[in-house]
Amino acid sequence: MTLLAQVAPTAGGTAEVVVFWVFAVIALGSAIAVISLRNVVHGAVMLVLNFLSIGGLFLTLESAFLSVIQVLVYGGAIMVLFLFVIMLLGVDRDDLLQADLRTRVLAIAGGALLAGAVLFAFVGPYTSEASVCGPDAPAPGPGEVACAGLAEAYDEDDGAGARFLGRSLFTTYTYPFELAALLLTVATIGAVILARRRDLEPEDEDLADLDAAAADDLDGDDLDGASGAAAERHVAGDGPGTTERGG
Amino acid sequence: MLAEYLPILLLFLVASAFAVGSVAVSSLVGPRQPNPTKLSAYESGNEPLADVPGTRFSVKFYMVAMLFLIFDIEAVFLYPWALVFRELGWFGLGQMALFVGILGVAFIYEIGRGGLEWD
Amino acid sequence: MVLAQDATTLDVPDVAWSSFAPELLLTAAALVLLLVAIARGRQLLVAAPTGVVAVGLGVWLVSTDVVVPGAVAIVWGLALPAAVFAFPHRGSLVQAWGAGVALAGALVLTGWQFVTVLGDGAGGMTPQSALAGALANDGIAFFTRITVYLTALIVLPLGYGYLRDRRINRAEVEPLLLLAVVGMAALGTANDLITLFVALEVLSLALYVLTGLARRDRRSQEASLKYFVMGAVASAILLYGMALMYVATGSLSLPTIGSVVALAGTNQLVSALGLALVTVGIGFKVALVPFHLWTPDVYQGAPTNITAFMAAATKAAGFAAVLRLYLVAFPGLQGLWAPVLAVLAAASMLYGAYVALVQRDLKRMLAYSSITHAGYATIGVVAVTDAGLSGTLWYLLTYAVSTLGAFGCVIAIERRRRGEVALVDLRGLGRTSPAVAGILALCLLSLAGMPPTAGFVGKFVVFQAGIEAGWTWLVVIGVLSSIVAAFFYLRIAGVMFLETADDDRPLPASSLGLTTGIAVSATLVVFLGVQPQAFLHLADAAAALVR
Repeated sequence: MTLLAQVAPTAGGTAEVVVFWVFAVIALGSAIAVISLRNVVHGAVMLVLNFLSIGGLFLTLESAFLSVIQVLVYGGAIMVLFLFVIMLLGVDRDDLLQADLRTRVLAIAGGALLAGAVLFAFVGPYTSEASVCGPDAPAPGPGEVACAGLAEAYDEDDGAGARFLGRSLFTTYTYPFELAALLLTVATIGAVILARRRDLEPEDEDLADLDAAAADDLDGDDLDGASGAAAERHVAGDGPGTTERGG
Repeated sequence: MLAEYLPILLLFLVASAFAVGSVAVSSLVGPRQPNPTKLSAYESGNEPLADVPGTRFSVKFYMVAMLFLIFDIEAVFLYPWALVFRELGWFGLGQMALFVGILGVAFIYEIGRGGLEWD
Repeated sequence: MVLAQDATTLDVPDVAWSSFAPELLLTAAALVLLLVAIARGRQLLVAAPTGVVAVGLGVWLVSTDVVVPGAVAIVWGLALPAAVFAFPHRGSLVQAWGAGVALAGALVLTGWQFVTVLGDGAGGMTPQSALAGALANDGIAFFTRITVYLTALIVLPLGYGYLRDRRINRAEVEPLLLLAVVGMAALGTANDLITLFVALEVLSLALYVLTGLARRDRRSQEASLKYFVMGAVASAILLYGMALMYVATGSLSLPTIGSVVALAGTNQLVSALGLALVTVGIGFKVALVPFHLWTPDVYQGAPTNITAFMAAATKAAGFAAVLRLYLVAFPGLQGLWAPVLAVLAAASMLYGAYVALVQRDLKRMLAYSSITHAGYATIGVVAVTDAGLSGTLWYLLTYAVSTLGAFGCVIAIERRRRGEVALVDLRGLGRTSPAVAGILALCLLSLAGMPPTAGFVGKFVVFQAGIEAGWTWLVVIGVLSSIVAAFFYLRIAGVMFLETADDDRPLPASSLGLTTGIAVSATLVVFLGVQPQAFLHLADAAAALVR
């Protein structure tokens, strides 16, 4: 936080500080509520609140575009996914939330360790040190590179941050941008394969057929086509997803 | 800077005040004459059974939502691209064509595999 | 047109096509195969236009004097329709051939890259950075590509019959495999944090899906879920670490971070913390000890060919990222991270070897062995020398071929047994099927690091780099763990050759693809062990990085 504030133009007045604290408190409080509430649906609602307040934090950083995206994608689409999963498992399944003492202690210890390390790094004896990008940073020597990213971002004053995002995304980060398309493709394939409906009964004659074929000829035909679909349907019979009736 | 968002804040405040106010006023002002029949849950004239797991959704909803999310993210990329489109010129056009083309293949695959069929 | 009237034009990066040509080919192949997968009876509708486009592109490339990529495009463009004609009703064979030719083409393109762009004519390498610095085409990239493409090329025939036996719906296997390979190669070339992260996610997501492909097998489903949940947490931690690095240095580019991180103004504690968190994220992928918990279950539950791919290729790609991160971005903080990483390496070597001792299941044992090998490979990283860098790259290649051969034999045994392969199932294998037993023993010896095999040369190079850099205690631990591991590998050999078989044990299955895959890996194990000079020379040259 300190470091980001150092980079930010100091023009922002007390209003920004107030807004920051309001959103920060809401974000933290709702995050704690998410992991402590017994009712999963209440937890999900708290998560929405958390997403919204993080959107607010983006706003105080003058990145309205990211803020809107945060609300639309996280507060909207991803929350819908969360709720669907909750409804898929059933709202009354609070046994999913049981954790034994050892897990609990480990989780708390791990979280405390991470939080402590981050706090120490930022608020420890090093706070007074300027970051490379801070206003107090020493001038870069010959052959050294000065701060690259943050300063540019703050020079942009139009397009609510989206223009800057577009400029860097479509020039410097062309390659990861195209990789992101592959990532979404893989995600699509995964969604189609793994979440395919499983509510059909097995067709045994097809399976017997397959078994015979497999015994005959190990290099024979594969499972494409109708027989493949039958094999898959058979999976549905004993798979864990057979409880989805009555939706 | 933040002052620009003051109207939005006001809108939020008014909206929440209206929501809370409506509930509060109706519970304060409206007449209340409860009786057992009114309070019981109505389910085709029968008493509802206690623990029917009827609130579960099918996995099909989840898949549609997930696929929606994937193409939602594609749309998110389009916005900053549109803002700097002129500066990027043909390079930007080719870049986005490749991106949309790759996702187009994913989309065709999804349709071909029946990812969008309900039954 | 609107395009003509813009006043300000951004500096768009030069697209150096050659710097990512292999990935481009594989991406195109993956997308086409995805369409072939849904085409069912009408595969020619996809294959014919693709062939025409690819051959046209190839002819154009050849006519503009870009001969090798042009030839690769033509060959692939002809191979796909040919496969469709040759195997009319066997979609998965079309897929396998399409993917295989593409992977071979990618290997050729990698060699072409080396000759035309990277090589300086004297056997050395001139690293180049491309696409506005997002991508570094250097020794790490070159070796990662070789290892990953080779692994995938061997895994394809290994898994072909196996997947069919297990009735795994396989139309998507090859496209997913190719996309995972693209992610791995991109991870090997990634020179900024964003590319690194996205590439890591591409390969992880593809592997999560591949792990869960055996839908009738609960353990496969469980493995997939476990891998996914833990992998998602690891990715989140990784992302947090990257954010901290950015906060401290103001840059996402690894070379820039490298030049900034040692400056007086940099908050070194924050960047070190960022590095620690990123290490957690990548340590998870390469299965270093405190982050290895997923490994045995996932390796055991996943379809065996996917396990082989995961063990060999993911490790190579993950270590490529580790090498680049530590040696390009954070050599300045060497005093901080090298001791920590050395402890992790020592823990991995000891723990992996110790727990492998008591395993009964062969796949689980190989999973623990992969943890041990992550430790060995890390020795080259903590050395922070050119010798260490080339040692690690070389080690990953030798580990890949040895583990592929071992998993190939597991597949051969597993196909007939239709279940897990426990140690007792190997009894008397040396008499009933000496070829499989012999190759399995050879690969295990290579994993243990015995002299005439690739594994020996790998360990030797890495240990040598470690001693030169002053990490004698670490190398001693490495040798100790090798001895422990060797004991176990020899015990397996003993079970196979000295004990007698039960009567009704089914023989290992063999098919053309499986035999080819195992034979190729065994040949490589011996070849790299006996004639390592050419590759060692390449590995030495690979120490040139984009800094």
